[in-house]
Amino acid sequence: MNPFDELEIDPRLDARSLTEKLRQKAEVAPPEERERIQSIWQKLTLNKSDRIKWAILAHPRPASARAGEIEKLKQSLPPILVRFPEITLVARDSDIFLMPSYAHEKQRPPHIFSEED
Amino acid sequence: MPMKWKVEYEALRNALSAADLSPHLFKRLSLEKIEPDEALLGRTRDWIISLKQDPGWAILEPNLTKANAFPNAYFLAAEKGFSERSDHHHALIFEGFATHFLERKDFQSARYAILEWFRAWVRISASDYIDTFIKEVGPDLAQEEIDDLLRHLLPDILDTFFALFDDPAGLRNSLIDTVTLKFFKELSLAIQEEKTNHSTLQIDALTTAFANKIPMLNAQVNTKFLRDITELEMNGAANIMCAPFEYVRDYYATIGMSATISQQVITECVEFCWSLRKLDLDEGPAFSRAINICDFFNKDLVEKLVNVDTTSNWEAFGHNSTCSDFLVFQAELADRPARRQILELGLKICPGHRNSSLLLSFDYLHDIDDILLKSAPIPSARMMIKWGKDSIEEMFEKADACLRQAEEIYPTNEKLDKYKKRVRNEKARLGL
Repeated sequence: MNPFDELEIDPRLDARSLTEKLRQKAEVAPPEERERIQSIWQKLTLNKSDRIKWAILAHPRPASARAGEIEKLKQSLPPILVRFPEITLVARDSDIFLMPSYAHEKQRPPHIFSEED
Repeated sequence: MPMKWKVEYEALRNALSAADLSPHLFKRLSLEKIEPDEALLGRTRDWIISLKQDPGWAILEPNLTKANAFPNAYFLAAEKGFSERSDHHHALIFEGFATHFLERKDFQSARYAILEWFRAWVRISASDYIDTFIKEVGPDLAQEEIDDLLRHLLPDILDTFFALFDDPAGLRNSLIDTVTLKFFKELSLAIQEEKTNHSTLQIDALTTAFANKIPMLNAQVNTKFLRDITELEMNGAANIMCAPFEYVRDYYATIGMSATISQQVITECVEFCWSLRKLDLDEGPAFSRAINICDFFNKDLVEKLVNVDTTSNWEAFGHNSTCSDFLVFQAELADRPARRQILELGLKICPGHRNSSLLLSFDYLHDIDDILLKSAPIPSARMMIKWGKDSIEEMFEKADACLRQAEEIYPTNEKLDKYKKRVRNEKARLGL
């Protein structure tokens, strides 16, 4: 299998970026996975032509088309940034009164109190 | 920060869109034969994103759920236009399809996949996409290294395809896989017929590799044939002794042949027949079996030698004598009158061919034997009857003609004098 596809890395990375990317992956990987990453790194960096050949034979993978499970992509979404400070709502006495709904009335609500009042 | 937002969300949106559309397109393009797995769908997410920006997408999109519309919809879409990025995906996707089909010996689908793989690379190579890609990914690579890389890039993939054929020529076990071999040939011809209006290192290397595949396989087959025939034990069973001839016959009957191989096989067959004769084994079944098998090659050689002046069959030039040698052996096995036709053909191919002349001369003398056998019971008194005299005269005119022919064809035939004397005596007896 193509090493770029195997590790889901962008084939357009240059040798330095590729090394950095694989180092990051290896740091968090379990020992046996780390060995696999190391062998792929060797495969891709020992010979410049080989890295470019594998890059040509890997599917283009721009940042906007990153691989991985969709659930993981959802989890990797950054938190929604709030533009304005959050408004603190405080309940007041008047909030306990329930006003009748006049939504079904097409006309204005009837006067509750007489004009004399 | 805003960039981070955009990329993450765009990636999710694209992934969802690809998950929705890619499985349909994979299935349609694989002729309903491949269900992509999650890993493949993940790897090819950019494919749909790229396609959506192409003119060809207008044809693909409305047909995505219509199985019968493919592969024609794809061909039309390709005509309308794909970007190099989309074709980069297509080349890799069809490479995967081709491997899948070849592993299952689904040759019809494999042919389609390999042709589309080839066409995708041709379209990619029409622009500077690959050059730009290489400059971007390996800016410090020397031009020589780039050239070397491009020269081997596609032929190496081709080799992996052909490695999956698993010995169609039976180089290891002598059994020809004619179905695979036929596919092999048709594919090579189809690729050579593909029109590539531009020349690039990678496409030129690929077309050359395709063109060389059959000659290379032919060379391997010829080497095996020559090795087998050299190691042959001349006192074996006929089927074992003739196995190398059957092997090349089966191979070239499928792949098509050149005059070079025909003359090579015929030379070996003539050698083989002479060896049998020297060992007094020419009455055995191996002799006739070898001649019958190799007749396939000799017919081809005869045709090419007869037309050598008018066509470019120059490979056959100069092998006339070998061809006529074979025809002599074939004539020995044939009944009359086919024998005479074969010998006359031998003389036409190689005028003055000694053994053809000798045998044909004897064949005419054999005609005289027949005439003399017919005339022997006729009493000389019958010659007095007019109508009888005419027909008998006619018979001996034919005998004279046969004598002239036999002498003309092979003047030093030692039996000529004896036959002349016999004819003269018989004519005298009948009063002619």
